[in-house]
Amino acid sequence: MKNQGFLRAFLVVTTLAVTTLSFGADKETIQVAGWPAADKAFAAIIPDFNKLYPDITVNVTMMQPQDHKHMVATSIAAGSGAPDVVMIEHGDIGHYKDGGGFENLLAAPYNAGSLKKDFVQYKWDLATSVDGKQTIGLVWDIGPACIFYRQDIFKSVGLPSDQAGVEKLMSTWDGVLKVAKAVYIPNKRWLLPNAFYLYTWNYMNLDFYNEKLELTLDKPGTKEALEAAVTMRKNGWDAKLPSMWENESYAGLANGSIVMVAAGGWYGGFLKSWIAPKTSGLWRVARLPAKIASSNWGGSFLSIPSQSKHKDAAWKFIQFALATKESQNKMFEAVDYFPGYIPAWDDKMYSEADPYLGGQKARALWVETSKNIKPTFSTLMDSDTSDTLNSSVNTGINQGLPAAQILANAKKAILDATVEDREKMIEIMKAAGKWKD
Amino acid sequence: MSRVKTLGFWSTFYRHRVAYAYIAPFYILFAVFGLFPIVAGLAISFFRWDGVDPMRFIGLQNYFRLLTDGLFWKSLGNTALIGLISHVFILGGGLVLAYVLNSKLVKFQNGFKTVYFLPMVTSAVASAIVFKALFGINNGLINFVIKSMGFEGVDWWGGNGDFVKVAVIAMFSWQWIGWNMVIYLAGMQAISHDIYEAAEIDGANHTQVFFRITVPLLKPIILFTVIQSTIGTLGLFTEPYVLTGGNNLLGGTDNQAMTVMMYLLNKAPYGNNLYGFASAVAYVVCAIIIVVSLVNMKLFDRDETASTAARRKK
Repeated sequence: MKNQGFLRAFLVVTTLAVTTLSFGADKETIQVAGWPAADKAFAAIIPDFNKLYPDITVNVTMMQPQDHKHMVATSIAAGSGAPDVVMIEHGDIGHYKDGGGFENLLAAPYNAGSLKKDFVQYKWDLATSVDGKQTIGLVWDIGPACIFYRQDIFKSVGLPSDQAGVEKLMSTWDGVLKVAKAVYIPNKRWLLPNAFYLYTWNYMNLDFYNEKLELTLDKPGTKEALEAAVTMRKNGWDAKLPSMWENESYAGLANGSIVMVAAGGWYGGFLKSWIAPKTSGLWRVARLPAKIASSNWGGSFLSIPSQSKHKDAAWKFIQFALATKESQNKMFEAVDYFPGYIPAWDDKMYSEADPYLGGQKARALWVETSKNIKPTFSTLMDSDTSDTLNSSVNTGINQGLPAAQILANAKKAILDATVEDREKMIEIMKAAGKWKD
Repeated sequence: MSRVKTLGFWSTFYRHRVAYAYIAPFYILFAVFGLFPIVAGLAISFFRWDGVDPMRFIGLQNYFRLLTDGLFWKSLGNTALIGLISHVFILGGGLVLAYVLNSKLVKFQNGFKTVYFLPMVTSAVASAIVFKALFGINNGLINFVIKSMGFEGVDWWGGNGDFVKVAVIAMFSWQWIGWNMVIYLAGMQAISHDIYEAAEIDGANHTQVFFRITVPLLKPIILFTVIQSTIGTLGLFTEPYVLTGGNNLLGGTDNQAMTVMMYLLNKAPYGNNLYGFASAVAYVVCAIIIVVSLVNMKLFDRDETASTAARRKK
């Protein structure tokens, strides 16, 4: 931290010296931090930004997501060392929205309230405090969820393989199990990296709690989903990998031994760029199975730490990047981060065919999904709850427990893991006048 | 001592100002980067603090919650089990390797030293990727060998979670064996060669030399490595974290590979921002390290006096 401070001071001094010597004008440098592939997205818009604001230099630093999160948490706690613009992940923004540390964009001089109508509401709400008086981040991207499946493999085992046919086939959990059975080849090919996803797909929106902070692990339809997951594992129809974020899962998706995965639209960018670039034309997308409601998975925000000394320039950059159709779409094209900025969708690129998806108009599906996602009630406990739920359900399925037992264990683990945050959440809600004893 | 009293602290300090100036750099750095965080951490452990909002004093509540959290005890048990089994390989293996290299049983000693030490300087994240490939379920090398012999592949990461620890132990041992080997080797080189020669003349074989001469004379070094290992084990984080996927800090199936350090970092700053709670965890871990180290020292000390007495008898 000390080093970084020194380094930054050194950079500022040298930049100032160089610029005063060469231009004699005031030049400002802002530090923008996030995780890959955001660097490629920023690279796509910085030249245009500098045409508009030639006096602001944008320095982009990237870290791995966990390291970035750690850096943000410690620099905010320490009160120094934070960059001027930070990317915050969907699941993490809840930790900051009700407290200090970041600029309230609803207040002057930002007055971002006027931009609210242009951003998808459920995402805007995630960055807004319980009392509604503070919004600490502007929405960058969202993750309209869908399944990605190998059309050629579906076809080769005699299943319907077009989007409509697949959606109809998998409109019930029994249908999903039928597909799992059909594509299964022992020791060679499975439908999914892990069966527990059948259940957790229902909670992509991280909508675990209602406004009384009751944990609802038994939303309508989820019991059947969990039972289907248990059946799938009993029959050996899943690859039993710890998660879809494993090298072995990536390898399986690349070589056709794993046939399907569900995620936000951004996963298409992952597939085509680094997971399975050689399978171009073989993948298709479809709506989530078994009538799971339109969901969002992941996405991010850009925020300004209150300790920043270049807030004005930082805000100029954030507005340019996120609240203009051109920038959002340039970044979407560069890295597949689907814009949370609604006016951006009104562009012909959203009805274009995607050659990686065999000419399917996936973006149109994502726009439709994005329009249907219902606002959720977000809490401080969401990210811990999500981690613990995934882990407990995975454990339960591994141990071959019955569905009811898995849910009971998950509930206990989650309540244990979130005691502190729950207390704090109640206080926040009391302060906002939203808690009824 | 009496001089200090008569002269007073500051005048003594002034008299020895040059000496103090020489040792100042360490103490200043230690005060800033060591002492301050240690004291501040203890203070924070009695508060509820998310890193941003004002701190709130809550007395011993963090400690109470911690000690009644089943997951903490589970992670402590995991850490102890992983540590104990790993150190059979790490310390025992390191000792044997050092003995073999020291007794000139093999050629190319420097080559072997380098090879055994290499895992130590390799990034744990990089080697975890290799170990994940070894312990892959469907495409892993170990399962490939097992399957090609006609057996069922092992479900390393699933099942009841029994096998998750195997992967962690394998990687942890592989990483640290060379480090301890080097320390033992240095210790062995300090043992006078005369003793070995005398043993050889008396007709002692390698086993006898190893257990009767090398090990007893290395006792202080072994104590050092045991204490270091205790601290290292309680700090065990990267290996289980990366091996269990690196998405969360819960240690895979049934939290079987969740170590105490993962538990701590899951409270702050990686998984959450409960700095007060995390500080309380750190202090409890610190207390455990002190207790275990004291027990180690006691055990070794007793042995030491016993063997000195035995030697005197001779």
